[in-house]
Amino acid sequence: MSKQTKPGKQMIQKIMSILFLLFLMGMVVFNMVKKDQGFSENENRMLASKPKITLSGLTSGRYMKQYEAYKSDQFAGRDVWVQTKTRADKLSGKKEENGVFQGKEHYLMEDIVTPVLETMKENLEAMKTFQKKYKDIPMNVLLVPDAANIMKDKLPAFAVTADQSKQIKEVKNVLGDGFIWNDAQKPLKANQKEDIYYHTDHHWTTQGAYEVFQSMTKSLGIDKNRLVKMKPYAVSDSFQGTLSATSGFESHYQEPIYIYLPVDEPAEVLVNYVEEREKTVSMYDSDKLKEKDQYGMFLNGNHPLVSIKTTSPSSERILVIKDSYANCFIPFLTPYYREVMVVDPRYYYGDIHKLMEEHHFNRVLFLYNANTFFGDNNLSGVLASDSNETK
Amino acid sequence: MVFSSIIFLFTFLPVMLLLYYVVPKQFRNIIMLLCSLVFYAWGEPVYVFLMVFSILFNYISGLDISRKLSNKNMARQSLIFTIVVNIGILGFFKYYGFLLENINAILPFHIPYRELALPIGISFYTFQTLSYIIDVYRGHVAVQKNIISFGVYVSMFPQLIAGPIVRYADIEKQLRTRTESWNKFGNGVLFFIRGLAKKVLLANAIGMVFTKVTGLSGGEMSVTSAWLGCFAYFFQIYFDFSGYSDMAIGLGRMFGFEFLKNFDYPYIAKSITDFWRRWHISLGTWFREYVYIPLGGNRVSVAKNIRNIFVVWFLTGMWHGASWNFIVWGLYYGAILLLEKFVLKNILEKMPNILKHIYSILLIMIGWVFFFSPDLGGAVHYLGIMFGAGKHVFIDSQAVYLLGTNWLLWITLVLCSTPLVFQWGERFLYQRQKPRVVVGCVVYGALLLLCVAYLVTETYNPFLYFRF
Repeated sequence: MSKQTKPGKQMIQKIMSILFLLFLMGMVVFNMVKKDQGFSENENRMLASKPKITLSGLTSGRYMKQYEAYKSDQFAGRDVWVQTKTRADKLSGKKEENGVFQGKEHYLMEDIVTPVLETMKENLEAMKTFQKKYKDIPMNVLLVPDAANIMKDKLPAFAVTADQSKQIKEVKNVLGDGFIWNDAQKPLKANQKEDIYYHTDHHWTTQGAYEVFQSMTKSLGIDKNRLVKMKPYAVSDSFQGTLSATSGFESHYQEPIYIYLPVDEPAEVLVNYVEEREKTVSMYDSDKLKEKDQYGMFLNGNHPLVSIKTTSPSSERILVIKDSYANCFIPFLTPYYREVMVVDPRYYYGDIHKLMEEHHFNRVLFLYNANTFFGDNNLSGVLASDSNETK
Repeated sequence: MVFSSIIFLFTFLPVMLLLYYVVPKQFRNIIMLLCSLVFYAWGEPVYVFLMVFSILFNYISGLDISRKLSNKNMARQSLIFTIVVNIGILGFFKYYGFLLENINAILPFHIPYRELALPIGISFYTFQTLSYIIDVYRGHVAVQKNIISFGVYVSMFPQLIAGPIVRYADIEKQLRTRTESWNKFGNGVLFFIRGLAKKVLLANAIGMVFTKVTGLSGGEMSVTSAWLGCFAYFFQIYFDFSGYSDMAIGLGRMFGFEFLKNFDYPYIAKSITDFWRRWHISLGTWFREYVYIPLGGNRVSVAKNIRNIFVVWFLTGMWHGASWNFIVWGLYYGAILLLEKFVLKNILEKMPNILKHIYSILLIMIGWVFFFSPDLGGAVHYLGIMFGAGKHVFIDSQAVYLLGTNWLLWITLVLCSTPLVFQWGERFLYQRQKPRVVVGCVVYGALLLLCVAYLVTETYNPFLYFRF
């Protein structure tokens, strides 16, 4: 550093000194003045609050980690900084972020999950044992593939994903003839030019669900003469899904949510959220449309156990064991079943065998999205709860 | 605490700068010492006391040895005692587990042990205290009677966690008198921003590619993917480490200190000998000064010279980590250096430059495989895939994807590994009649803002299902 520094460099150094200090001090002041935020709409979670100082927290280093998280979460202009980063990423051509692909035509697609073999084996064995126990009750399995599988042509160039078609086929083979297998790939592929998946969310659209429903009415035992005509109605045009939140891509893209209602008189329903002890008369919760996760308006999101009683002329009862994909599918079932009972194994801690005994279901439907199914580790536990088990 | 974090940039650093420049000059060392202890304690709330002990112990030893300098034997005894204590502490925390593991492998019974957490920076500050003690003994430096100044030398936060390893002789005068100026400060800011950008924008980005490749199961890895993974690490470790060193030098300058550079574009080396004059320079210098030369260096018989080189490289490998693959890594380089010195010298000189570069980069990449693999077996396996062992496809769509989607990043990494970018930048900005001051400030400012955006996003963690 003993060379004579060029005057141009000296100028830049002096100016950058001042700018750097101004920037640091500016952000410090900004942060001091800004009030701490609680819930973040964009991230759909509570932001860290100022941690309390405790001796054990200090000696273990936990306090320091909490304080760092607090300072980061509450950093002034956080959302703007995050947007800047994603814009810079896009400029550099990045097409994948946090497991989400930026596809063509504004489609965001979740990467295909590779199943953990151990847990998947357990789940499939549990399903087979369950079916054998209730072998007089027909059981349908609907495993819905993800957008990255159906709309391969929309993935970014060179993108490589695991083969979900192969994975789904293996599940079909392992489950065997005891189950009524429903193929969702065919109707979805046939309609892939339509909006069958959301652009910014990992769920299928109501239209996608309806196409698949229509392809399987026979296997659900529904008489084609009794099929109810349904029409789509838009309930929102400002939906921004989870994929755009995770990846930061398409943060300004808004899309519609449709519900399908019978053209003629609607079947009336009584929806009972059993564990929460709440009852409503609609399967749609319009309050949720004011929140960020608007998909939650279908059946008010995910609940452990929901009992839906209808005024359908049918006397059949169906049990649906599912993940969130079923939430927009279930309204298609209500015209044809007197009772639709919905179990989400991720939150259900009850005894499913007691449920089976008490309600005398005519049919069971397993409805899962493939990625969720292959990442699931709750199903076997719920199905296996045996009366012999000591709690 | 790490430099590339929100808490450092917007809480610690502003407070530190304010305190340091507000107090009168004679108190600046105290401020530096206290704040550095806080900086260290933030990451090591318990082991900060170990470092304080090391400061006190070495301070007293320094006084002790300097008092005994007239009596060489007594001084030597004190020196050996001090060295043993320092290395004992380092050895205990760093190598205890490794030692027992290997003893257990040989013994018929098993000695149980608990893995100790390694105190951050202990390898760095121990080498600094050793450099001080040995130089006092040799009479190269005057003993430091001011405990504050000595404490600053050992613990000052810019170089505490990840170097450069500062020799006491290089900084002795600066502890007493150093000049701070807008120019120096600004130079530090530029260094800091460059280092931050290297770490946050380059190293972290290519690190994700590396993670992706090492996450592939054996069956899914093509030969090209294996090479891409190795290249990814090759760049990641360089930009991470040299970025951190740049930040350390930059921060030092902001407080008036001048550290020597730690990296000199190592990847444009024309031989492995050349590479080690450009990579982690402060470590190489330390080993040369305090191990190689005391052992006789190259002023001894050829046999002893070879022994000296092997000792240095064995220790260099061990310094990097308590595991056999690091030791193999060190010895690997020791062997190559010996070959270059005694066997390949003439051949290398006559090779065209392009071959020299390919030769060097190839050997460096192979070395990194030993470095990043979890163990020796893993390293051999990975190298096997790279060189065609086993039934691995040469190239697959995964490899094309990793290469294609990151094309801009790969090009940037290659260019920034050479002096071209920096030289061109300097020419473009300063070496003209009318220097492009505005452009320069805009570029540096934009880099800083972009890095902050990336740091904020690191904790961006959306929860996908409804809140509980």
